[in-house]
Amino acid sequence: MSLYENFVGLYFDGTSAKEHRVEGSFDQQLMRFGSESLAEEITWDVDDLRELRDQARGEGGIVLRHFEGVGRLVIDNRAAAGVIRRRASNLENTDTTRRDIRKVFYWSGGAIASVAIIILVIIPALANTLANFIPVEREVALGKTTLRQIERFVGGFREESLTCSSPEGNAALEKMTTRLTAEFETEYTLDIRVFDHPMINAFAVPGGHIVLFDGLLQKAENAEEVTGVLGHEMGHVVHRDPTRLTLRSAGSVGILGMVFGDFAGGALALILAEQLIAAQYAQDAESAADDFANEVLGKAGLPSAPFAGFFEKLRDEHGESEGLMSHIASHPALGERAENARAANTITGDNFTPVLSDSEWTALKTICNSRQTETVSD
Amino acid sequence: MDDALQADPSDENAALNELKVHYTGTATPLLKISIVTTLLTLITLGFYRFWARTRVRRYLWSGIRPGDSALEYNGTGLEKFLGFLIAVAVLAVYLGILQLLLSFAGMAIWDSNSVGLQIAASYISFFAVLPLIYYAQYRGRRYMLSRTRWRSLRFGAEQAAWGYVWEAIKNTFITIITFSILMHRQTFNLEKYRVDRSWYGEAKFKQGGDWRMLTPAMKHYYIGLGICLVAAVLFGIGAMQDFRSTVSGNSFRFQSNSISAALGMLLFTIGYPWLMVGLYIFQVASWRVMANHKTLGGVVRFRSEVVTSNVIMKYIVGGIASFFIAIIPALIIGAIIGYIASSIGRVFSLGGEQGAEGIGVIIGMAGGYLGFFLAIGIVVLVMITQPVLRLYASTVTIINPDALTEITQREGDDMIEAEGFADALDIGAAI
Repeated sequence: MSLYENFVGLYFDGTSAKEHRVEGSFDQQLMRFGSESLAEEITWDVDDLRELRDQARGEGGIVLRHFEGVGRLVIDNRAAAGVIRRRASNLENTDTTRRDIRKVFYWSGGAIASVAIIILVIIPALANTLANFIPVEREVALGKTTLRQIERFVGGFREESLTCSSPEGNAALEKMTTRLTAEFETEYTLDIRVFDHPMINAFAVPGGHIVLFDGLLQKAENAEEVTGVLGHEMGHVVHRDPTRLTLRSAGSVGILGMVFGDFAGGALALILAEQLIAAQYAQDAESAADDFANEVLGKAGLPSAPFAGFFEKLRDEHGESEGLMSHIASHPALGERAENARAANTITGDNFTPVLSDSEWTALKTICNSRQTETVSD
Repeated sequence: MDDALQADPSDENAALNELKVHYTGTATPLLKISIVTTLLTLITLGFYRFWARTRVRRYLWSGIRPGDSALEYNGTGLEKFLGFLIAVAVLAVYLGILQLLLSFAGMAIWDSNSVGLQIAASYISFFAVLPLIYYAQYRGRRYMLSRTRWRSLRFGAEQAAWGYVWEAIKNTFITIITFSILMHRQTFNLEKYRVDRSWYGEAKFKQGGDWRMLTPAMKHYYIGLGICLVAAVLFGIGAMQDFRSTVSGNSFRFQSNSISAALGMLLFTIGYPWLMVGLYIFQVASWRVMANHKTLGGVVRFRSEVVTSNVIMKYIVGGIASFFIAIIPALIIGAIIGYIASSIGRVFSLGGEQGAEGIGVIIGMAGGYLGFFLAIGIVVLVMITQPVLRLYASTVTIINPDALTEITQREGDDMIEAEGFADALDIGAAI
């Protein structure tokens, strides 16, 4: 004889809103209960019992259901609830079926495919087409705003301008620019400036604005290296890369936001995913800009070997980003870029007219000096 | 008129039984559920949110007890996840292209002088997603009802989402062209549309009365709106006379006009908060009046005695308290993460001493923001959502509950897409 426990409870039969006050008992394997209002006694196997979880029942007790049925049994007795929890082993089963899992599997595939097609195919194609319809003067205005934001961010949110200027430095920059712009057509009026910041970098924003950082000028050994970088940024301008990428990221951020939800954890995933996708596009755009630079350098009667040398110097000092990082990086591998530049080289040795004279090169390199002394004297 | 049921204690009403609704949820268990599910959502990069919402709803629903038996929420996290996948598969194309076209429009007409054009662009985007939002709202509510039970019987709603979209757009249009003076007409009509298609078991709900009974509830909203209008007129007069006096060079006039503009500003600082609080007052009062005019199966009625000022105070006090409580973990997390980040930066000498500190400050701010975001969700649930739910639920009385025992079960409503659309569009699925 197994041990019987008795209980009283409320039972709702799943077919009407009637309340049945039931009395019952349970042993190791079976639970039985009934009342005058019920046609017959109900028998549930304890392994078939499921508990309703997260219930606001301060007084203890338990709400039970049979895993296949809609009936509900409420037992407001802490002791009885305790015994049932010890005996019934499947109270927390969610009874997820293979069919449910399969459905989730198929729809996951569908959702991923849908998002992938729109992000990787439709949006880039649409962005590339639409970029050509944006009037140049709008791009210039947009670029000016973007430039101001970047300036503020890079300058640590101080209000002062980061742009360097000296009469000789400006003239040298102008000369370098003209050497390249003579070789191609563009509808943009190029605005090229130097930011007083130690970062070794350069960038282009929509509308033909190009910025070289002072750190890059200091890193370069000769004017031809800088000319290569400038040619690269001009490639971005001519290809309308900043505008295309802005449009594309507007489309994909909306979708990724939907996928990860408006939640803090989601925000993190969103940034990573966007970075990953952006990097793939950006790498293509960078390679194209390199090709443009190499071509224009050749046309201007300049070697692209110094441009290659600049990449090699960066690689030797900072190393190549490899493995996982290379997918997140927005630029192709430095070694690869150097090789491409060398392959495109058409001029050997010193057989070319230098971009700048020695004194002009010095003027460009020291374009930020006057500004620095000014800040110190303040 | 709106308190007809209380004002008219006729013999018939007095003879009927009444069933009080209680609310039994408390802060501690809900806090526990909320903290655990929030952390799980964080480490799963947001994907646990479907299960998190399920658990919170289970608790809140089970706290609402008409008589002795609690409501039951039996939706599942898995079905919400599935519904979300379906919505993503369908919506990705539409939303992606829409976003891209809008940013194109934004860039093509980018001009700091033409604020009007930019406003127009944002209105276009609003109206492009509005039908979807109403659609998702109706479907979300239908899902919620189909997963709610009381005394083992299901609630349910009819499949009428597109009809709802049409009804909602018509009413929204009228609300907009009447400068929100007829907002209560929209509130009532949409509530009636939803309620008249809602069921408990095989018994149908019905929303009685008409929109005019909500007019008194609009009182404070109208006062706020009126003050704002006067403020706008004064401000406009000031600006116009300023313009004229600048032309004629009349300095005396210039002074008096500035006073008119300043008075307009002052009135606006009074009128705008009044308008916002008036909106909340309307929400509570209209809910009460409409509850008093709902019937179930033609025989069961309801009485709500929710006190407007109690709900408003919960929002105000709870809101202020939530902010200050949530800011503490935000500051702690931000400081710790910022310190770690700047230490790492210093060890690897990224961007020099100053640069490392700068990176530390930025990452620390991001961490603090994240901490605030997580904490505010938890605190608002425990300090506002549940207490307000308690105020609403525990002031409801069911009149003639004996008739409920005759109601029988209704068919289940599969709804494979659950509330996926509401979730993907990020609306009305907070709990």
